[in-house]
Amino acid sequence: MALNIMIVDDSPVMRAFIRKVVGLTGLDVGEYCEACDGEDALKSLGERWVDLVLTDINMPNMNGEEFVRRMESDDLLRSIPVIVVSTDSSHSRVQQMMALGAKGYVSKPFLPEALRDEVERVLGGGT
Amino acid sequence: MTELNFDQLLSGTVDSVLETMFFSAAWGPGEPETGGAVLASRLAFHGRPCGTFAVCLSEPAARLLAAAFLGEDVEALTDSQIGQVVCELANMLCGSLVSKLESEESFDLAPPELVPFGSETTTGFGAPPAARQSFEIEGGVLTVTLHLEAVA
Repeated sequence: MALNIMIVDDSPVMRAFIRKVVGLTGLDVGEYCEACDGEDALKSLGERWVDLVLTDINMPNMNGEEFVRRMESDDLLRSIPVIVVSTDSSHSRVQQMMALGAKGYVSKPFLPEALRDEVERVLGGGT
Repeated sequence: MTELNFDQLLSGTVDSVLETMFFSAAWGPGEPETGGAVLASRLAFHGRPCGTFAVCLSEPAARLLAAAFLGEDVEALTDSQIGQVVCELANMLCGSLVSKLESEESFDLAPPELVPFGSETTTGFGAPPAARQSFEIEGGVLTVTLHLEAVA
């Protein structure tokens, strides 16, 4: 089944890059939905359903930390798996985001295969 | 923090980011750009350590990197996209480098901004950069500068 994927990043070129990389992975993607920060993403999630969220951490208005926290506190949204895509690969940040509810973490820079592997791991290989 | 070889960390980071995210490579040491059409971006990072990080490169080099990053034709790129990619390059290099400087502690990166050429290395810290290196890349030279805030 095709996946609907939301990409949350304040950089339009990074969102375009992630879209390109996801395309290279061979994943069956239905629709992409983009948001420029956590606030924008939550608003979009109130209007459409996605199967997976890929989010940055450092963003204006609502950062990735708060965004994941808000998703986790919502009965419906907490079922959507979140993978963090960030330049911060410090152990404490990875642990923090996973503790908040993120299901996966990909550190930039990353190879397309790394993103694909993490998506497949998080979705249980059922892509 | 243990004694670190900043130059080695910097060159390793540049190699890794260019190859992985830009499908490009640093060919070797280069001479810094001295003017002309040059783009520069700077951002601050906070944590342990704190400091600023800057990149500077010629417009043709930036255009080629942006085309590779976005998978677009060079001619199709807008100035805005090229500027955003230069900022993203600074962001990724900085995040990757700071993660290596302190792998246990999390840190915060301020949004990168385009700055006038020559001002990218002005930090107000009053100290020389901890590391500054120039690399020859396709289309020009990429210079990266790391300033660390002195710990009181």
